[in-house]
Amino acid sequence: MSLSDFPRPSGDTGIGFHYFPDAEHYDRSHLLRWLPELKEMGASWLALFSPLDRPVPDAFLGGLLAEAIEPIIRLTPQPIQPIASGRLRELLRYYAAGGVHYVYFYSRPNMASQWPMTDWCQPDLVERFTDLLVPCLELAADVGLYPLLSPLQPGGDYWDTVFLEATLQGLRQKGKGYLFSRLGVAITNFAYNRPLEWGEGGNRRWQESLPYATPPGHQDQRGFYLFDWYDEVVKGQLGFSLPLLTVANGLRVGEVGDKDFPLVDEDTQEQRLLEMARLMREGRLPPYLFNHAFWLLASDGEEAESAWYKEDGTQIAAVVGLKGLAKGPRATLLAKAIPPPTPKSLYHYLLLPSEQGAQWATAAASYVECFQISGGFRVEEAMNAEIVTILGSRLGVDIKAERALRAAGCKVERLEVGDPKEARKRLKEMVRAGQRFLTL
Amino acid sequence: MKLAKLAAQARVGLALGQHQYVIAASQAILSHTPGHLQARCLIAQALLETGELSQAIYHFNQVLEMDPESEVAREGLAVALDRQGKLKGAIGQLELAYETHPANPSLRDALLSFRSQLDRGQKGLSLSPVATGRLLAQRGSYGKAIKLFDVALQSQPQRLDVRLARAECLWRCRRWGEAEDLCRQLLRENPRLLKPKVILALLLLQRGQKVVGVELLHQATVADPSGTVATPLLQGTPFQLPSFVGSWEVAEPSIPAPLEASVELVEETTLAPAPEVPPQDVVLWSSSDEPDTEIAQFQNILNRLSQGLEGRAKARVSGGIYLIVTSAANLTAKYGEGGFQRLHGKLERLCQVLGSQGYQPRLVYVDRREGLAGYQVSPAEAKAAEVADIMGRIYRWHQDQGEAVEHLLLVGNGDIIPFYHLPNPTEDEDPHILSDAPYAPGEHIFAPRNSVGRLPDGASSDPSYLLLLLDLLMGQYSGVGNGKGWWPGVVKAIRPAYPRTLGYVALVWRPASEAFLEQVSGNKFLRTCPPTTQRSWEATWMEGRQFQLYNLHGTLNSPHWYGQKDSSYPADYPLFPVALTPQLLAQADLSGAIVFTEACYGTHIVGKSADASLALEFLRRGAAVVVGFTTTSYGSSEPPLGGADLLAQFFWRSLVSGLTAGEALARSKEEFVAVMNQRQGYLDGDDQKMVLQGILLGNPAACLAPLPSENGREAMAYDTKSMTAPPCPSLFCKFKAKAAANSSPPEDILPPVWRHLRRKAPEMAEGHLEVRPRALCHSEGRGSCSGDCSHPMAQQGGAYLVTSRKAIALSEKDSLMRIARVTVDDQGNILKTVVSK
Repeated sequence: MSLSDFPRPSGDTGIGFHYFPDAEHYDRSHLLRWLPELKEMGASWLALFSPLDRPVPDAFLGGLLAEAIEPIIRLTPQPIQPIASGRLRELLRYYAAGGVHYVYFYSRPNMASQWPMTDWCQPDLVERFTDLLVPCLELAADVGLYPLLSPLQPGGDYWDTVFLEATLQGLRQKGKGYLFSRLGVAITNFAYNRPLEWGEGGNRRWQESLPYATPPGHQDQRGFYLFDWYDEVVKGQLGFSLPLLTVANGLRVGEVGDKDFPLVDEDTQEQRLLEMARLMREGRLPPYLFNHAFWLLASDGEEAESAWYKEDGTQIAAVVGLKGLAKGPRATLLAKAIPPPTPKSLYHYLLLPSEQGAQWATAAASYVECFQISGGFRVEEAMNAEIVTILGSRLGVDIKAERALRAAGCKVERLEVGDPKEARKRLKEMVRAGQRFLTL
Repeated sequence: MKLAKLAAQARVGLALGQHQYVIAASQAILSHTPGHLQARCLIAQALLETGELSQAIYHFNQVLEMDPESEVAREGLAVALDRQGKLKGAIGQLELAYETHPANPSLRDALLSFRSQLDRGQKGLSLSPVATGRLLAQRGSYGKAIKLFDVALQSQPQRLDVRLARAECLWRCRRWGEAEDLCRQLLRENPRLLKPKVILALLLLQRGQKVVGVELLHQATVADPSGTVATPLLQGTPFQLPSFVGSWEVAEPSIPAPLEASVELVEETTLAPAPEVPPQDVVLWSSSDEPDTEIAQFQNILNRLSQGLEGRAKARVSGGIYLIVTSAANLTAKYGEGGFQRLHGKLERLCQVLGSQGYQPRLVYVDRREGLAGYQVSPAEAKAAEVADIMGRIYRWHQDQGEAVEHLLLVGNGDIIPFYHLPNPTEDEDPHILSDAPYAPGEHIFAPRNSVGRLPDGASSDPSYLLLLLDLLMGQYSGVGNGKGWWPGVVKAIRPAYPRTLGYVALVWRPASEAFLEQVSGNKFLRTCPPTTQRSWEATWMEGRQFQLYNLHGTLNSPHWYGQKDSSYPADYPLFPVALTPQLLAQADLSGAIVFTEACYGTHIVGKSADASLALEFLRRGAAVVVGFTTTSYGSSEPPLGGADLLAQFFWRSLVSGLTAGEALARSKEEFVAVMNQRQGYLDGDDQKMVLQGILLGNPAACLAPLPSENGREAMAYDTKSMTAPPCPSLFCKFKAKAAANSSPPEDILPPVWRHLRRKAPEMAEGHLEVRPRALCHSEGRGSCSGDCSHPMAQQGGAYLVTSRKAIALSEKDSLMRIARVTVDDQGNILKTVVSK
């Protein structure tokens, strides 16, 4: 299924909001109050909070859908815990019948604060979370919905890009690869007080950035362009893009997360929010990014300070600005449907540095023989393998080759050794231990 | 309550002897996070103090299983074994601890003491290959360290501590393949070990195995949420681990009354220890790279230390008077009757603590009859002149009794006990000087002979800040003199062999600060601003640094201190980047630190709270002392040192000679006066101002070593009571100079001054210039000269003082008035240059 096959609202502008962060604003009067405002701002998407025991009323959903506003349903029990499947199935059926397409479960599972303390402290966090999530995804897919992977805290206590990568790996390892045909990823890409272009280009461009380490002068995913990084992870794992649906983004006045940049004032907020809207409307954002979901349309609770519409009747300046932008659907740059990955002809390939090639090959001989591995020096050849082990440092087989292999859908690992002598020693140890792979 | 805050409270509780609370709090933490190493250490220490030896041993062993290099656990285990009568076992643990932390004097002391009980006493301890390797590794000589570890492992191949040290060295010197092998091997044998887990995780991340690497890091952080092991390892790397532990709520045990005031201000913290290995760009002074010389150097340091410690055995013959002075009326007016009663109770408790240390404490309210009656002095309103008069009478009364007032502690900010306003003797923007000098009378005001400190309160009507500071002051004596010898060293965790020094200086002043720090022995850590700024400053750099020198700019209204770029930085880089803010101290544990700030207004605290004053924030974070200047201060940008830089050097020298901070400040001022008089034949206005405005905030009895009791303190090299003060030197008189300013200076003195300024302080070369003739007088040295004296030395001539001023905007609200002053003779020769800080 290509990106263009995923449902989108009619006349999709890509503009959207997160509605009130509670379930107290779903009656008719609220619909009448907010629907005109949303339309006037050109919204096509709305993220809605839904308690497990109190679904968003059908009338409210119907009102949105009638005006071509696509709801994204948020089912996020706290702390993170299993959701009873019986009740969930009923709820998901209700939403599917009501015309909803997108739904996601749990929020920010890469944050300790979302978990019971004892659960967080156990090993294999992602695997355990995936075990919780899979039944939800399957139920949603069963009833015809399009489930989304849970939104992660950018960075976070458990590094988000790795959490996402491990989740995708986990789904595949558990034999749930079929879900990818209906799966999207929920994201929260707040800009904080960083320039909008922060992190643009993803890890491909900012290769020095590692989990928990962004060296001075480098950038990471913790900004508006988070979607570049996530798409890179998704493509690295699957070989194609998944839809990324924003469930919260924007920037707030007073934000000062990065001390290298000035605090966000009202002018900056307005200018950047409108720029985000223009980028979307003018087709300058990638097609796998489906929408914005500006946090937060309105609130009368703790989050009221973040709201676009204030309790005293005033609004942030971006409301007027957004209403003044040209209307009409988002300029489309839809990606060509990416064909599903072709089956690999090889299972495992040992990729060797070409320099001193004979010595490397000799060093690897016993390992190749023991595990009956294909091996050689050609990246194109290695692309035909499901798993590629690269021997030596990046000086021998560089990072571009490694990325190309990942982009081709290979699982890649690297045995980091300095020279053929060290390689021989390490590979012999692996042979002795009967260890074919380093990590897989 | 947040888990991290509870951990911080437990630590305060341990310092204040609230052992049952510490046990309950630690248990609450451990029930949620059994791997919380800090909590495990705290409960073990508290159990040890309550005599639950076997339980204490259990917890210490739990710590060592995850972190075999833990100094606190190893020491604690030794103490517990000793108390169980297992002296040999205790010695074995101490030997291990000493090999792991060979720069810790308390360990050395304890080991010698324990050995002597087995008749194995010896004068000194030689360094084993492992200990030497540890010291070399701390200096970054990883290759040499590894060779020494290998020597040790030949005879004891399974020694876990040595293999861990080796793994870290391999990792730090980028022998990553070997490091990985060793870490994997260690983890196979001991899956709970934290250090190899962290190192392996970082290695995997660096080579792109992110999924496995992050999972390993996760396992390490949940096993040690306080970051005891990981934080020092990551220091100097770009890795920043999440501190998620702070987000959890735990049930809080009831707080005992003595802790109540303190915990109100305890902030959440991960309580990670100071790193043993400094960041990669730390400047460490090393005289040689030759291994033999290095080893000899270490041995020399340890030998010197040993001698120093032996010297401390001399006890002072009599306990001195510790005078605590404040105003009941002003405290009541500010905090209400209830607040005053709480403070009074705390002050009485402080007197008890000081009394237990051999001092003769005296609590005096200047406006209450009770404390003053014995002195035959009438109470008076707490105004500066009245307080000074009362102090003079009290000092004389004790003198007549043959007693000495050892320390004077003024309690409260300027609205409780006002600062003394002295005329400003130099040409700058300050209308007067805020001083505490007149409260400790000497023969004249430039012969300060007495130890004075001020324990400030905050600006609000909440007494919590002052209550906390009083608790912290009492905490400095916690466990001292209780017959347990070196135990306070354990409680305070890391006490290296010599004071560990931190210098944070404006880039343009680096030469002056280096000139000072070159004379400082021991472990030094220097940062300049720029490139370091508030954005890159790490609070952990301050921890475990007993002497901290801040040579930065300050202003009257800004809570920040600023650096200054040099000409190598681009024009659009800020001239004065923000170097330090009170907020940056929030995560720092500064227990016992002695801070010297050269910044203008560094100790200007009138009307300020800790949020608006770095000096007050330092105290809140546990610093024992902050010495600094209340108005515009001056120093040199390069050697020879002058002004604040010279005072800092003398202060340091006095501290390491064993003087308390209050005594050291008095002595440093006296030495400063002597040196400047020798250099110039007089004190110019800047010299006078520096002496008068230098004040001490905190405990004047604090000192660098673990705080000794009065009875146990070494005899002072500086016996103030038996020395006669030198006469007051000739003084520059700004009033006479101003009056004489109409006479034209020689025309040829300004060009060399301009040229000099362009070289030494280029931003000041374009400033507004003012020329004053040098005019000297000899007033009575009370800082009260009005320029009309007729002393024979009051004469003009010989030189001129050229002042350049320039206001430079720091922000929309604040600016920095920069002043450079050049003393030049009538031939155009530059005699002296000072710049404002």
